[in-house]
Amino acid sequence: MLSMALSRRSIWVFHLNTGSCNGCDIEILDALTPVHDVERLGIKLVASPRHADVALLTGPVTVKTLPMVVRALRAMPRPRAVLAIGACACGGGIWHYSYPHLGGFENLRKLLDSMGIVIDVVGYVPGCPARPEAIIDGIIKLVTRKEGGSR
Amino acid sequence: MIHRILALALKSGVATVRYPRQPPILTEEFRGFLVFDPTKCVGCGACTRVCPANAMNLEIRGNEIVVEYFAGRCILCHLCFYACPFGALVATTSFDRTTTNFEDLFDRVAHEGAACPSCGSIHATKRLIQFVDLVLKSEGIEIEDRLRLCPECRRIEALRALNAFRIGMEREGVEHGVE
Ligand code: SF4
Ligand code: SF4
Ligand code: SF4
Repeated sequence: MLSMALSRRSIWVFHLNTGSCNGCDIEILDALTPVHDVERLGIKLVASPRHADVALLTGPVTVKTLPMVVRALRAMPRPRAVLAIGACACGGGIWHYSYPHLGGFENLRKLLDSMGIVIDVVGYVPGCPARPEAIIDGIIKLVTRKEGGSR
Repeated sequence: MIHRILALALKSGVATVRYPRQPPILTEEFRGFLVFDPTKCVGCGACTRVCPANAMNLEIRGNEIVVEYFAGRCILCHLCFYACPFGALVATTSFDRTTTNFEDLFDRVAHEGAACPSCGSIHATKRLIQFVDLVLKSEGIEIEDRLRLCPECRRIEALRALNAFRIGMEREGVEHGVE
C-alpha cells in the first residue's frame, strides 16, 4: 500500500542534516545537479518537511540537532519514509565510539518509536560519503520495496 | 540573450548521466565495499585492529567467535583489505549495498572457539590455532603445551616457571645481577 502510494506520484525529498561532516550533503547536491539530475526521475527537493515524502537524513544524529530532527520528522505527513545516507546515518561511522550523538538512525528510530512517531519505511545507503548513484538506487529501492521488507 | 544561451547549450551538449539506464562513472581507483569470504577467514582479528571505524568486529559469543563486517559503518578505506593475511576481504569497486533491511548490512561468520586447557575460556578460533600449528611444524619448532593456554593462563604459567627458576638459582647460591 505504501509503496503504491509513493510510486504513483513524484517523490518530494527533504534534506535533513543531523550533524554530518557535509560530505554526504555534497553528494546529495551532486545527485540534484545536472550531472545526475534526479528531477528527470520525478524526485524534487522541497524546503519544508511538511511537503516531503522522504527525508534524506545524513549524519550520526548529534545531541545538539536532536530536538530539531524530531520536530522535522514529526512534521512529515504519513506514510513517512527516511533514507539514512552515509556511514554516519547507517551505523555511526567514524564517530561510533564518541559521546555526543545517538550513533545513527537505528537508535533515533527507537527513540521516535518510544515517542509515538512512526517511520513507515527506512532505506539505508552506506558509504563514506555515499555515492550519488547509490542515493538514486536507495530512493528507487525505497519506493519499489515490497511490504514487510523493512525491520 | 536567450539565443546566446541556447547556442552555448547546444555547443556544450548534455551533461546528465542517465543512471540507472547508463553505467555509473567510476574510476579504477574507486574504493567500494568489501566482499567478505567466510571460507577464507580464520578469525585472527587483524582487520579489527586496523579498522578506523570499527566496522570489522570480533566478538566472543558463547563457544563461538564471530567476525562481523558491518557495511553500514564502513568508510571504504580498504585498510582491512591490506591487513588481512588470508585474503578473506576482497576489495571491489561496487557501491551497491543499498537496502531497506538493516540486517542486510551485516556479513558474519561464526568460528568454533578453542578452549584454554587450564581455565576453559574461549580465547582464539580453532582455525587460527590449527594454522599456527601448521606454520610452527613447517618451521620445525616443537610446540610447548604453554602455547595452547589463553593469554592470561600463559602469563601465570610463565611467572610460575620464572619463580621456580629463581628459587632454584637461590638454592644454588647464585646471586642474580649482583657482582
Ligand atoms: S558518512 Fe562520511 S562523508 Fe557522510 S557525513 Fe559521515 S563522515 Fe561525512
Ligand atoms: S574498508 Fe576501512 S572502514 Fe571498511 S571495514 Fe575495512 S578497515 Fe574498516
Ligand atoms: S584479518 Fe582476515 S582472516 Fe583475520 S579475522 Fe579479519 S577477515 Fe578474518
